[in-house]
Amino acid sequence: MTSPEIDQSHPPEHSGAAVEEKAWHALAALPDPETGVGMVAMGLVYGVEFSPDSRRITVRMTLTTPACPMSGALQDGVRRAVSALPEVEEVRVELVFDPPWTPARVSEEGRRQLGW
Amino acid sequence: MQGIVPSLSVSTPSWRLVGSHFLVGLLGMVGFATLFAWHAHRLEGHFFQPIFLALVHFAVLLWLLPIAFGALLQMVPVIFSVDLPSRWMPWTAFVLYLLGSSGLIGHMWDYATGWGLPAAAGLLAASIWLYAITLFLAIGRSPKVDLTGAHVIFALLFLMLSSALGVALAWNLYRPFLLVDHLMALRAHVHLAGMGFFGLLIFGVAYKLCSMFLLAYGAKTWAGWLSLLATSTGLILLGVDWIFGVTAELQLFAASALALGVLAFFQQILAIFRTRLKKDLEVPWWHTLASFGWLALASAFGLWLLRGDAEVKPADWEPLAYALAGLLGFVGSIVVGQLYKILPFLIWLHRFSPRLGEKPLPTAAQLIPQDPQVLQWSTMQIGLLWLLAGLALQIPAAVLVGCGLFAVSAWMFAALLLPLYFAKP
Repeated sequence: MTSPEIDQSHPPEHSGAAVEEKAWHALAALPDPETGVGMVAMGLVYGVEFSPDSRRITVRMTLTTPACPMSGALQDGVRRAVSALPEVEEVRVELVFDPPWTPARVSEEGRRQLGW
Repeated sequence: MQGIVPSLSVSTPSWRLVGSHFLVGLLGMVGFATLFAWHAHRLEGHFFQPIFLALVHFAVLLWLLPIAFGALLQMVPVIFSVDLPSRWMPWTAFVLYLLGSSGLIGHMWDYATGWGLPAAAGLLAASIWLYAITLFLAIGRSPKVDLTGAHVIFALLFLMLSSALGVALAWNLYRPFLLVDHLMALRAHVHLAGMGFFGLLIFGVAYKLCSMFLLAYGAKTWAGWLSLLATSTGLILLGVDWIFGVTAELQLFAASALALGVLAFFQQILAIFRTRLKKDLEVPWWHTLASFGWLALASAFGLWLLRGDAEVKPADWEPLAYALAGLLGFVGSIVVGQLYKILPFLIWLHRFSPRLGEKPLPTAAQLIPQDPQVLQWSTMQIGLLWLLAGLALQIPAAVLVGCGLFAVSAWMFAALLLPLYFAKP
């Protein structure tokens, strides 16, 4: 499931959609430590996928730059936030740089918080 | 699975190592600023006087350089995605550095030109070379060097050159041996350190930190590369001219290259600021912008001073004001401003990030109250303006007020940052 801000045209397709929705909300509350803008609003979360059979959730995320010193901390934060969901047994975080993050991925709300 | 990076191998340097460097720098700033205010009445006459030399070395060696080394030890592994080659090398360099720098400053203060002066200078230079070798060994593991990386490499080379020249100057005071004019070699030493190390390091790191903290991406980098080429060329030629006394034309060419380097730096910074996503600029950026203003002033002043080599001898206050505008205005302001960003960032990374995802956390910037930062910035910049104006107009009371305000700002800075060392989520 992609972020509603990245692609709102795809409705939930499987029974894990409710868990994915909860995961998106948990990730949205996770702030970027420098700007204070949520990771979802910053466009750092590319996708969330929950497998009801294995109860494993996979978060595809990126960073504003591959050399971000917060890399490990943010990945751990994502793990903690999502693993707090009772339906989730295993969390997998995939750090991807393809496609790379660009400022165009920041949501309107994120831009407002950044002063634009 | 294209593009997946299972575990990014960016090393996180030891907080104890980096934090110790920053702590020395913070305390060093307070110590320097207090001594500076206490001895404000000595800021007159020719610049080659023990107290002034000792104060300048105090500022450089116990305030600015430890913070620069701390930042380098933190940033090089991150920028180049490499590990430091060993734990003991930077710690050994740190201990040698503290011994060498305090010994050198002590000898300068008393103008004790016995064997202890070159011995302390040698110890200091050895520690600086050990830092540089540590960082070069780390950089050597990286397959790619970007604009910031190239600046770091050149800055370290200039620092090694400057420290070697510093040892020669110290030895020359102990047992005169230099075949060239001591004061001209001193000029080269100062500029290799001031513009070669601090200038290029600030240029290169500013490109990285401005982009990172302001979320600025996509700026072309041609101006930054031009700046590196022009600044390095200008410095080398200026050093050659001062030490070997070649021609006035060479000096003019070198000074023009340096001016081009500074202008190209401003162009690169402008390009980065234009692409920034974060619009609001907090107080640390005010320091940074003030620093760039001081750089412009010091550069113009430097060109003005070169006339003295031709026909007119500069007034005594002019080299003092030039040195202080460059050292405290340009280097000091940006070091203070960026430490406001880097220190909370590191504290957040090491102390707060383990709780990320568990409970609401403040941002890195929220770890320091904002309003006192405004007061600290105003006090520091007004103090520097008073100091420079007092020197230019030959008003000792204004110099004293300027130094006093600067000292107050240093105490405020320390009072704002030192509690971070005890901050917990």
